[in-house]
Amino acid sequence: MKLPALISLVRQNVSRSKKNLVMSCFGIIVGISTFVFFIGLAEGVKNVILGEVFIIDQVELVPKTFDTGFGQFGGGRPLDDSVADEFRKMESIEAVYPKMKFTFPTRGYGGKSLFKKNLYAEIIADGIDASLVRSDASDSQDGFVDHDGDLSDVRASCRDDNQCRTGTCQFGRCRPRCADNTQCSDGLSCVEGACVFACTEAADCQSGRSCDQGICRRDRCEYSEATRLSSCAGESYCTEDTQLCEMPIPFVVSHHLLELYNGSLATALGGQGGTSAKMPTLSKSMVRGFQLNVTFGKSMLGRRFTTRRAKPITRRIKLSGFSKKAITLGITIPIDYVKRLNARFSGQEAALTYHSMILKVSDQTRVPAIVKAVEKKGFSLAESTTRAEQASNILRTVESVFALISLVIVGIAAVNISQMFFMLIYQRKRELGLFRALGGSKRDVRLIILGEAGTIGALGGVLGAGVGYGASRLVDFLAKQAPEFPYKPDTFFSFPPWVWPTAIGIAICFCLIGAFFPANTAARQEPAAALTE
Amino acid sequence: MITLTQVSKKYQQSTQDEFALREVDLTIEAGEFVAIVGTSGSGKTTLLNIMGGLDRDYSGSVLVDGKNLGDLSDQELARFRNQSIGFVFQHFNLLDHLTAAENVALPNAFAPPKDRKSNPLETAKDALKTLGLESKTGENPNNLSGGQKQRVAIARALFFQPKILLCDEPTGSLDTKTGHQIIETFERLNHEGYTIIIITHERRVSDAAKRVIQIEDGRLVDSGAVTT
Repeated sequence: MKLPALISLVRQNVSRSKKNLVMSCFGIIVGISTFVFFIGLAEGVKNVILGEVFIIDQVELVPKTFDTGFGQFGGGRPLDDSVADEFRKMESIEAVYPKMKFTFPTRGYGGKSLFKKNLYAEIIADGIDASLVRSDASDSQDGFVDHDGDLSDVRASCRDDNQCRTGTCQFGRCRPRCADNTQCSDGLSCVEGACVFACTEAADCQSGRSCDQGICRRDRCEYSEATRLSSCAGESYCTEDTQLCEMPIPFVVSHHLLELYNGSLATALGGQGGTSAKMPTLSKSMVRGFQLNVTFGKSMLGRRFTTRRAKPITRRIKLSGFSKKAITLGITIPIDYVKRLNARFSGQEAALTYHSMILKVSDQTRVPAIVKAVEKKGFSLAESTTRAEQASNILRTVESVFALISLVIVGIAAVNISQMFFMLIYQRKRELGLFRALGGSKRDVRLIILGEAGTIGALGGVLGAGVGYGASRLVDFLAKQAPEFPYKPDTFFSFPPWVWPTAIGIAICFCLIGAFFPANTAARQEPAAALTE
Repeated sequence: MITLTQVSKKYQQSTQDEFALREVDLTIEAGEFVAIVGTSGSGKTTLLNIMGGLDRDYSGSVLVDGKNLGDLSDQELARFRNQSIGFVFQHFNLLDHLTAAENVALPNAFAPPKDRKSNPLETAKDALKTLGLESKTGENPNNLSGGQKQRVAIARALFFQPKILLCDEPTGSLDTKTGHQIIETFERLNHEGYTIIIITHERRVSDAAKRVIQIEDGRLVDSGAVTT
């Protein structure tokens, strides 16, 4: 029997009894809709948990520490550029992003525009490659760049190389050395052995700089508390220690920080407990662009924590946006700022050793192998990676359980289909005998029954997938009416493209399995006996 | 030509085997109009089923146009039933969810590609027209009378113009007048060259046949003389 004839016969047979069709499809629809619903839910939750809370497509490593019972001690291999190069050469590692923390105290104050009064806080910060944050598509982080890339030192000016901790004294500033443009960061050019922002006119330079003999030079300013924000052009401001115009240091924060603030702090201090003060609930758009002052080298905890190696300096920082790559509690700025500040306040050594490294993995299945390699090279996994692994395992288990429940439902539906087909074959005994009399072989009869089962499976699969998807939309709609809570996503569901063919495929397969024995029974039926009943 | 040699069929009973057919030797020439008569349970339908390749569980040999049906595979036998035999049943065996034309065209679904009609519904309509049912091609069997249903069933049997028509009590469910019309149809088909083999209880049918074979308790008691 050829396919068009089979399709025609199956279509005629299936469409003749709508009641049988609906009854046969019902179990499959329930099973497949459950499957689609649970897989979508598991994937959606996984996206939130592993994409927002515990990021799984990266491994973070830290130097090994030794626990003696009296405390933890370092002593493992230090994380420096040579280690980063080793990992860059490994298979499946897309990129290596070193992270560096501040090795000196920092305090910050500001926030009057948001909270109606300035708040003071100890600032915890780390630095990360700006390109890693820019690659994070979860949110925009406009202006997350190193505005001071042409400086190798935070100090204001120099007369010769001896006054520079690193780099070379060129055009009156300590600047990164270079032989050609490739040795300079993005946006910089190598001029007379130093990386500088080159220009042909003033418009080529950022705010607070002017084009002078082909180089963007900082504008001079006279610092006063009253005019520090207005004495320089654009967003730039006047710094007290250098009397130069500078752009605010860009920073990003984690999504968790805002969730934590809105979910806990704003609720606790929301004015409902009889307090006169009230902390507002913040949105991302409200806080983007928010600026505050920070004093590097000083702590909220008192004078004894003030740095002695260099005088504290005050700068402005500006919130560029939100990033998954940001430190959970604190701020994250471009790593070159951290290197320069660490060198100034803690010494050159502090600018050469990283505190952790993020290995961006191109293939998630290679994560276990990379974790092994990390341990073999004498490093430990950061707690975030360990937690991500645990979360991933838990979610996989939950997803498997959901899928299993759905498959059990579809399996029960298949048993039901099997029973129904046995019944239908009994009812249609004469008809199947007639098919044989008219030239149908055993194979033809088997194909007709399986074709009908496959059609029921496909129909049930499509309808079930639709019902499952509809249920997910309904849950999302109801969730939108529920109160906000931390990490509340726009949707709890995510349907990867493979879900649809898999759902329909499972429905068809289970129906075919269910109809297999009835089809064989029908094929084995003697036509003469079938026709005389 | 159909030749049966020492054909026997037995049903296994709890105590002893019961023969439905016993050592039947029979030859039916091409173009004959044969009636097989006998009491209920005498083995008439079993004999017809064996000749039509619907029943393979027998001993002896059945040759149809030189082909030994016992040697054919399931696929070959299916093709033989599709192309060489037309079956007409007492209860018509029409599918209610199909139209008359679709019922007639049903054998086309099982035909091998080279034998398949390119426009089966047109062929079916032509077949129905020759049987006087041109106005009923789109009707469902539920809307047809008994005689019309049987003519649809005959048109289906004739779809591939087989040489042999095997008819099991074709007038058994019809009134006298309609039955008479069906008998006339068979006579006409026989004149056109079809070999007609009819199982019947009815005298008027056996009277129309040119040869009457009598069967009792599975044995051929009279092979019948051909009347002209």
